[in-house]
Amino acid sequence: MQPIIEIQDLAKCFRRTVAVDGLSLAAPAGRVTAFLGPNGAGKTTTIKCLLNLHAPDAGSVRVLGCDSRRLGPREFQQVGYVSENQELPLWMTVRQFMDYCRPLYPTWDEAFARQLTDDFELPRDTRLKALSRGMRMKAALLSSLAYRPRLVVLDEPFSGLDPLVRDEFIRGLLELTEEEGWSVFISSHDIEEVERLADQVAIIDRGKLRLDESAESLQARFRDVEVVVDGEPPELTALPATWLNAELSGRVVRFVDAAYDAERLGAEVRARLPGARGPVANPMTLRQIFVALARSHRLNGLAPAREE
Amino acid sequence: MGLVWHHLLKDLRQFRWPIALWWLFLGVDLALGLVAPGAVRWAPQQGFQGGAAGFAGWVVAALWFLAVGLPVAANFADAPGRENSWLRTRPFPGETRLAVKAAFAILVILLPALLQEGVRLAMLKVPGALVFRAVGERGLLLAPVVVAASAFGWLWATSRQMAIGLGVLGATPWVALLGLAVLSKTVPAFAGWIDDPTYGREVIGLSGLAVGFVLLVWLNRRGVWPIAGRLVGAGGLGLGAMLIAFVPDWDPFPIEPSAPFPGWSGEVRVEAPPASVSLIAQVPEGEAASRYGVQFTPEIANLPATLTLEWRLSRAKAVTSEGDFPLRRAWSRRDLFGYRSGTTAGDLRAFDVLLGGGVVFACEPPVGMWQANVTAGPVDASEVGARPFRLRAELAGNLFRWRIAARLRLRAGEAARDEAGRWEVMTGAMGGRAEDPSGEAMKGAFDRGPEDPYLYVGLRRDQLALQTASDASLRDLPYWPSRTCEFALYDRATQLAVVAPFPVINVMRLGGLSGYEHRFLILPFDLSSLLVRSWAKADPGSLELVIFQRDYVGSITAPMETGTIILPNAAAGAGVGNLVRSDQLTWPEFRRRIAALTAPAPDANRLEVGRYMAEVLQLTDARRHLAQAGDPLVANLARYVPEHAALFLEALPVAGNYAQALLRDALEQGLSEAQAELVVAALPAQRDLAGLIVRRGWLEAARGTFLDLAEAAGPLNYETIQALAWFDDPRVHGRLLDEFEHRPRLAVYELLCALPDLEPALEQRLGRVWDRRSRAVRPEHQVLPELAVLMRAGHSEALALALRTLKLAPPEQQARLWSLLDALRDGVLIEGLTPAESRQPENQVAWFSRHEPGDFAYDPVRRRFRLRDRMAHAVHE
Repeated sequence: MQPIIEIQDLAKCFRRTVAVDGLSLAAPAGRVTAFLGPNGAGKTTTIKCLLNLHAPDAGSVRVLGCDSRRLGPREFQQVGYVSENQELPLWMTVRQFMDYCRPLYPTWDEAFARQLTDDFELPRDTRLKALSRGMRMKAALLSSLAYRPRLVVLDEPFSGLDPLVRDEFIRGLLELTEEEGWSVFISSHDIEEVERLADQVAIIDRGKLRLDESAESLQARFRDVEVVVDGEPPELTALPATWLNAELSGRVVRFVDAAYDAERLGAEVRARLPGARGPVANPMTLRQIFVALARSHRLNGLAPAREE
Repeated sequence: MGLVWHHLLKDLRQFRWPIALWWLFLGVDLALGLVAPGAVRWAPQQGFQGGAAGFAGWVVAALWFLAVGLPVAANFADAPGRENSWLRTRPFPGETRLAVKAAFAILVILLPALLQEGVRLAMLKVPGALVFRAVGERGLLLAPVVVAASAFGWLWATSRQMAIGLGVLGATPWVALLGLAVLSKTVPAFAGWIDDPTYGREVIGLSGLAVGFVLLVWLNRRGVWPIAGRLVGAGGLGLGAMLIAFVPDWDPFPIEPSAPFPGWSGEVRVEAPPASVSLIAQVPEGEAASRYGVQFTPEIANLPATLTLEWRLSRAKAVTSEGDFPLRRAWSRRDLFGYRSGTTAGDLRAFDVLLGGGVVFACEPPVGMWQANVTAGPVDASEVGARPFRLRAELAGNLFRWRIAARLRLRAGEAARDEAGRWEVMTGAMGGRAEDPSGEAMKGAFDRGPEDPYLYVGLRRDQLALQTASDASLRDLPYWPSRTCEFALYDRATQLAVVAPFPVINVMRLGGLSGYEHRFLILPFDLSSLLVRSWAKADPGSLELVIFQRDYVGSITAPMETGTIILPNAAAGAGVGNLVRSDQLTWPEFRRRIAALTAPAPDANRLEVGRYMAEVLQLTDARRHLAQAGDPLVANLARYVPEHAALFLEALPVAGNYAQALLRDALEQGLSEAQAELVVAALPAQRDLAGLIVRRGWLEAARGTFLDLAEAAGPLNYETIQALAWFDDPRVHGRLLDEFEHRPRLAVYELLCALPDLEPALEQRLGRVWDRRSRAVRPEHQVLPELAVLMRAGHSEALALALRTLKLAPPEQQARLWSLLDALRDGVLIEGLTPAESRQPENQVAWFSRHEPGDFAYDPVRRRFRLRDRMAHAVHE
């Protein structure tokens, strides 16, 4: 299936600041793609290029099969966009906001909108100005989901939300994506936020793509390994390249295996760590994988190859 | 359409409070205009009355603020450059967006404003056609404002950017002006530019604004789509048009030279004889050095038919052998295209042609025909010093063509309208129907009683006009009629006309958002001239009001360089004579004080003689004593001339008028032949010595100096002309002809007639003198001097004009037309009367009244007109 978003060698500069530098990325359709990176990595700039809010300096971006620079009303009828920076019409009530958006979308589902309103517990006759930040984000999300868009783009949607609201938000989103089969492109600087959501993970840092892999694949190949060594503590040299952040603590050797295979791991451990007992390989969360990668300095251009 | 309406409703809801305020102020303005004290009223006869105080200025200011602010806000709210706007990623087509904002501008701003104006005028019971025009005019004024404001709001991505944009637009004109001011003061090439209307403040300010718009485009280079550049351009045009339209007293752009002139064949030659330069000395109080304003009057060759030319000075500088000194222009910005300082002789000539020729204008002598009469300066004597200098100037002339805009018959008891229905005229004698109270009121306002020499004509112009500087005829509201229109009362039977001076303008302004006003003019015609006193104020039925209007044709520039000018040394003081108190001595006291002076010996030293002379000259000026032939005072002073002639010559420039005469007389009496060179050397600075040189027969000794005078600036007195004619040097013929044409005097004509080579050229100049003659006749003043010359030269038209003018006056007043009678006597041989009888005005009047122009024929031998039968009789004899 053709990716819903295709980015090829995207570059964008603001005066002398390189925001995005040769980014290439494909977001598969029907999946949730988490676009991660620290603050200032280039996530928002990339998203704005996606939606023609910025014009790329180089490269190409295609959304829904269309060049992003030619996105028009027909395409925007299939795209929902929510951003922490979005300026909502604060003078409108929730009801007025929905009433205003409804005619813009032929696929607007009024029943669905009502359901979302109830699920999100949004007060219909309250002005957006009077709502909390979390409620405003919900209202924005509601206005972007009620017409069942093919693509939902979320830029730091959880920023500033308290954990309870964030949790609700994520849960709601999860349910919808599972039910509707939407494509979601969500950016965040916090992996934990999107861990439950992400099918695909892309990590950007200083404008460059560092990682682009499915969550399943990531979690399949990364293991947190512990090996207990009897006898003399071994020298932790000449270890395989896929063993990251190896450290010795007493008689326990710990490392992260970035290309986990049970048999191979066992053989390698026996070969390189004489007297080793184990290994014990534990699955890792995305956050743990991200931290391990970061610690291993692999984010500086040495991302392991992704399995196809 | 559904989406457009949907979005428009959003805008209406979003800006409901400012919109409500807008409607509120429109209502307040309407109410004030209808019910407030001094509110405008409409009366069928008088038109609009009242005004100005009919609405509060602050309401108008608020309306303008909202008319600009609302479109800016509405467009900025959904501006395409605002990347965080919630609408940016919504399916909101650009065309729909444009339609929404256009609908907002029209339905929210324009239509209510137009409706309000229509309601106001309808409630005033103004005629429907006027309502329509007024409403349309308001739309024409308001629309560019709203478009520009909308475009401006459309441009910006953030409010910070918009604030910067406003700052740029506001600051760039001032920066440009400041830069020009600094350049004007520091860089000689730019000296005076800040005051120069051609590159004046307004043009520089607008240029700065244009730079500001370029800066705006650059500021927006990354913010929005490329369409912003076009929008900025459109907005800039709108703003520019608005500024031109609304900024009061905004001078138009300078008129570029245009060539060739449409519909006109021929050429304009600028003849700038040095004779046209004169100096005006100014000695400001407390200053030692003098400053001079230099006034020069370039003249041009004849313009055809109904064309007139107005000059203005662009640049002037004094050119010396040691450098140039730029002169500032002493005239105001109003000396631009369109400003009139009064009726000129050229205007009267045009009116004469338009009315069929042969018209006599019974009004004050106007400004010279095609003279610039511009003054530049001051020339600082301490700067230029006594060095000879030439004036180099660049003049710009605006060419106009006159036409008759309307001819309105004055009828007693009713108002008159022209064919187009635009002008309506009524006189104070009529004042409308008696039962019409407004008519009576108007009559009272006009007619101030039987002793009032003025006939008042009321003129109403049913036309609403835009206050746009681009419309030259309406550039300056309070004076537009006098800017492009002239009004004359004309009697076809007698071909007599009176031109109105500046009319009294009654200005009404309606509404703050529109720029039109309705004119009701009161034209006062001065009927105090002898020729028109017979015009009955009570029955103006034989008269018609002629409205002349001029159209701009084109412009030319002309360089001019004068001959050599030498500033008199005023540092020596304002003249001995001027230091004397102006109290006039009595004759006995004058004689006593003269006698009391101790006269030194003729060979006394210079100091003693100088002191004595100073005392005598002071007393002479104080007494205003003009020495007659044989005056012992002259002889007394003449004793010192042989030894102290130089002292006399030095004293001449600084002496008062009477003292100068005394000095000249003393010199003439006391000078010896050996002192001829001394006098000749002083001639360039003291041209009045020419007479002395001529009378003493020192012409050959002074030949070179006289020939130099012919090249120098400044008018030539008669004695200088006399000398030049005596030399009969072809090199000076041109100057002599120029002098004659510029000041056609009989004595000069007689001199030039004696030069046979000049005859053809003289005839040509006479033709120009006739064409350029003043059409204005006020017999109480010295006018029509050229008629005597023309009649001497055999111009029968001049004779016919003189005779007709004489007969225009009431018979009992004809003897008072002294200057006319003098001209007739100079040009016509009065035969049948003794010399003593012919000098009596009454006898002259009786004699001329008996004859018609056809009764006379020109006698080339006597150079006079004579009665045909007398000539025939003489030939026969």
